[in-house]
Amino acid sequence: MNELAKRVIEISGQNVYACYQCGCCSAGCMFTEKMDILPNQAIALIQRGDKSVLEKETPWICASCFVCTVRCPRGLDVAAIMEALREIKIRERDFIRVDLRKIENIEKLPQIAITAVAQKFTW
Amino acid sequence: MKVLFYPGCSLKNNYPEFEKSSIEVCKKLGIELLEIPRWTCCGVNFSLATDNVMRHLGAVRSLINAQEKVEEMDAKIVVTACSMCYNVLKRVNLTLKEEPDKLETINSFIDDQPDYVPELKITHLLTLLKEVGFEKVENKVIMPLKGLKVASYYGCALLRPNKPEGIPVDDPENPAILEDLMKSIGAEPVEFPFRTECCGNYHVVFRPDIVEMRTEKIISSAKSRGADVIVTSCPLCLYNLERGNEVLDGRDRIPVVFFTQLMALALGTDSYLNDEIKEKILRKIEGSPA
Ligand code: SF4
Ligand code: SF4
Repeated sequence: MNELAKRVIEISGQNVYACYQCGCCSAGCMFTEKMDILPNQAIALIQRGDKSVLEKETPWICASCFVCTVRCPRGLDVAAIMEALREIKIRERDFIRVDLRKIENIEKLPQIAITAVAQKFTW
Repeated sequence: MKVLFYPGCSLKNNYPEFEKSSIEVCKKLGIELLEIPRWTCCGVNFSLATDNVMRHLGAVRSLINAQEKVEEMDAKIVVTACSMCYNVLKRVNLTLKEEPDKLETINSFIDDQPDYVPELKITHLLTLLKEVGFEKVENKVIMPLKGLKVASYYGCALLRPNKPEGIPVDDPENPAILEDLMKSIGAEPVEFPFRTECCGNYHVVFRPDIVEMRTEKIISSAKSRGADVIVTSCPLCLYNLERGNEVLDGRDRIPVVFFTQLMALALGTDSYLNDEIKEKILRKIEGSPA
């Protein structure tokens, strides 16, 4: 097993090797037009140990809507795999994805939006 | 019936109309919602990193405070109205029920509160209402919302994921609970294909383009299906849908309201709808005073 897959499995609890690339996750995903690779392609890269997946936009565009998780015929929690990819970067403490001091419109935004973004994008 | 209630941050700070109308509606049905003492933020998104329990702490702390009070209640449940709070509290609770090692880690970490004993059940207000019986709701209706076409928007957190068992409030691919409730208050449910799709979630903070891409579709679909109003149980969905409304057509906005507000209107109690939206809705109701 490659290092990257090992890490993803450790964090997500999902056996990425169970994925057989049917593309069901990507077919249901409502965010693919903003992504640079499809969710199933991200999983293929993990299976091959290709760390370039960690530099992709896709995990950060994923909104944890769980459509893929509900539909994956292999029972994979694809949303958790996306979270693992985010976590690997976030746990490198010098990695900064967003600057919470630069939120526009902060008075109007519901608190849960801000808390959620802090949860997903920072440590 | 007295039960514990977890309001959550958005109901307290941004959308008091959701909390107030929930309390009013429940009162009409003989349910008293009692706020959990000293509750904290639930965390909003259930952390999917299985090797780290830290992000569950907010939810657990509130559940510990709930457990102090639960003996005085009529059921061992915690009721929430916000979809996101529901999802997080539900998932954290299920995790601690099913994974004793995580429960132990958390309990040994929290030393300023008693241990959590996962005996509570997290219930969404919709589920509670269904258990009480939509026919009971129907019996209490004073002004049936006859002629009002309602698009029920579920979003994600009420329905997904479906593992572990027990999270969705209804069939995740074909829910009916909101439509059934709307029928019980005399309204006419409108089917539209985007009712279970995602609004874009927290992306509204840094990537509003993503939210706009999603909500434009959702709003225009509900409109073209003839809906007069959209109902939701999620404060973030509501905020995001309003954004879609704005981008699409600032003038011809379709009202987006919490399901409890329409219920309150039908049950003859304060709906906390703002005047403009209330009038828009009343005009669509056959035989209404407007
Ligand atoms: S749906 Fe499941 S099996 Fe199919 S490509 Fe996606 S992760 Fe792989
Ligand atoms: S959870 Fe992420 S990857 Fe899966 S369908 Fe939703 S946005 Fe796409």
